[in-house]
Amino acid sequence: MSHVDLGLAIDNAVLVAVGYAVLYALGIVELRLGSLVFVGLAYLVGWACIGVLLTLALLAGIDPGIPTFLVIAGAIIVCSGLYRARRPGSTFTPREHAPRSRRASLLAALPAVLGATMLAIGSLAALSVAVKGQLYAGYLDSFDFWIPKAETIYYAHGIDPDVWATIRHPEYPPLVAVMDALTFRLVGGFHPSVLPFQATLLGIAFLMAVLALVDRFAPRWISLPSLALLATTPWFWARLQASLTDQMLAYLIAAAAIAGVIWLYERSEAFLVLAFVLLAAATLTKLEGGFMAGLLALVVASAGIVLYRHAAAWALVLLAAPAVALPWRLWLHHHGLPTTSPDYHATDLLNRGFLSERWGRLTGSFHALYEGLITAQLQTSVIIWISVAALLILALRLPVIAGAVAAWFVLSLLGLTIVYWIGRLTLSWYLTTSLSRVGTTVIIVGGTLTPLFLGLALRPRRAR
Amino acid sequence: MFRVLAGELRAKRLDARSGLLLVAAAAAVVEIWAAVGPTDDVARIGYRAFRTPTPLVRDADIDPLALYVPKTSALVHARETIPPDASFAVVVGKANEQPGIVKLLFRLWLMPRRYVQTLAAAQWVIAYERPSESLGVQYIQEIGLAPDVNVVKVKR
Repeated sequence: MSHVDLGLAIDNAVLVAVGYAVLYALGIVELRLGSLVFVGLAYLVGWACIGVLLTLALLAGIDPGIPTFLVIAGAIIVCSGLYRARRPGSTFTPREHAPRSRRASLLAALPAVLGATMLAIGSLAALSVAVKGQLYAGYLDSFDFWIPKAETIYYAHGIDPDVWATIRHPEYPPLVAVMDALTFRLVGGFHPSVLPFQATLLGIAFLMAVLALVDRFAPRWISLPSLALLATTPWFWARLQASLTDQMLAYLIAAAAIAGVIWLYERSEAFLVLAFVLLAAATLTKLEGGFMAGLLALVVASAGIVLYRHAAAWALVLLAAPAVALPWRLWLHHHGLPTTSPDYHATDLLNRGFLSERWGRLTGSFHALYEGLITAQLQTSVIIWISVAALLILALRLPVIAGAVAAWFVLSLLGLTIVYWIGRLTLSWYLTTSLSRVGTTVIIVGGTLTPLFLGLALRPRRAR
Repeated sequence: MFRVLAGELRAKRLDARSGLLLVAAAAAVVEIWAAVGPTDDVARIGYRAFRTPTPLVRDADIDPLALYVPKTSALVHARETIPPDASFAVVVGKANEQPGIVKLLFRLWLMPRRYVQTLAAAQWVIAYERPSESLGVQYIQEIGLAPDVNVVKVKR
């Protein structure tokens, strides 16, 4: 085994261990073989926890290298074990198997097997391409600023504000750069070709995480075809290995949305904590992450209060998740770097003349949004239409939850459109570059919530 | 009467559930159908990659950059030549269509060497597809990195 292989193995094994420890502390998994199905969720949660804490360590002036990584991981594992020992309660509920006839079982097995096969093909194909490492430089932004940011953290054993200022978009938060720099440390050098493999693992972990999260609510003949379609949709599959943060942001927001909906449905605090961790990581992943995470926290907390009144008041803690960006903003401000994107100014929204002058950009953005979501590609439009149908079905059963999710979709898309409206860059750049990347978060959230919505709608009504 | 009403409601609920099951089944069928084409494509791409030998990490690191900087040996030799604590600038010949990308890749590949925009601040200057003499700086050493790519050590 080479140094690189060993480094990657340690990195990924520790992330899984940390994730399992957190899930164990939350009572979402038990120490038994059946919990292996949560390996994807464990990886995603481990990545999010380590990412947030290493980023905060970096901002505190601590080298986010191997010793810090191992100390943080060890602390999380020990604290999780101690916490669970004191509070042995569990929210783990095995899958419910509705009694079915033999014929119905066979019929249900067909889409499940087909979906699982497609998902396996998509995942194996992505890994097969990723191990060659050739796609790390597939996007200009990767070698323009994402990888150089990781590289400077790796070489400087921290964050050198003078070098950081010379890299484009210094205002973007550094979580992914910190995690990539950690990978370089573990593999023993600046080897950008290992990044596609790590990115692909995270993507596959996300798909497995969604399956694990919705498994208690949706039968696999519903969830597996949905995930198979998402996984093999060309833009999703191609970006599994990209060293861009947009898809990682989408994973975190989508998993947080699922955790948020589960909390709204069954009010198990474990899922609120899970949503908090994922939203905090999303906030530190990209500038847009703060907006989308804040919006999600707001709609979930609001729906919780509508549904459960005072009993859900502490869901407002979710709103603190995006506040994890504050140390980052303070660090930027302290070093005289821009804290917001220079591409647009929110104050322009108050300038009526400026807005009316650019009315064409707003209508153009809406038109592009419609085209991008509905007409551009068969797979994307299938994901969108089925998500919308599932949301409408859910609205008949659980209107508050459906309303909250719908509000998040509408406000997220509206937020993007407003940025394109007031943005200083050309509209065509926004539509060809930004929309096709940031906009995918909305599609991924929709695609992964679909099986949960259908599963919840199919569940027997319960007294509330 | 209540019993009859409850029975009717139960029947209606069953109907609603059956309807839901039908919608979910239709969604699963459409999803599988829509995923068939892309699955075929990714399977081909994945199989082709599987049949391709996995390169050494050092080759995998540099090879993708050949798409933008065909003379990748210039990147490798520049890293061997310029000391890690030095500053450097890159000047690209006018015939090159992507001078910005060439500079970005040198900056990426040569970190922790400090990339500077102005020649006056640089200790080393890479002349990419242009003669070193045309840089307008006095230098004490010129080293060839690749055909038509040289690096000069600026006289201070």
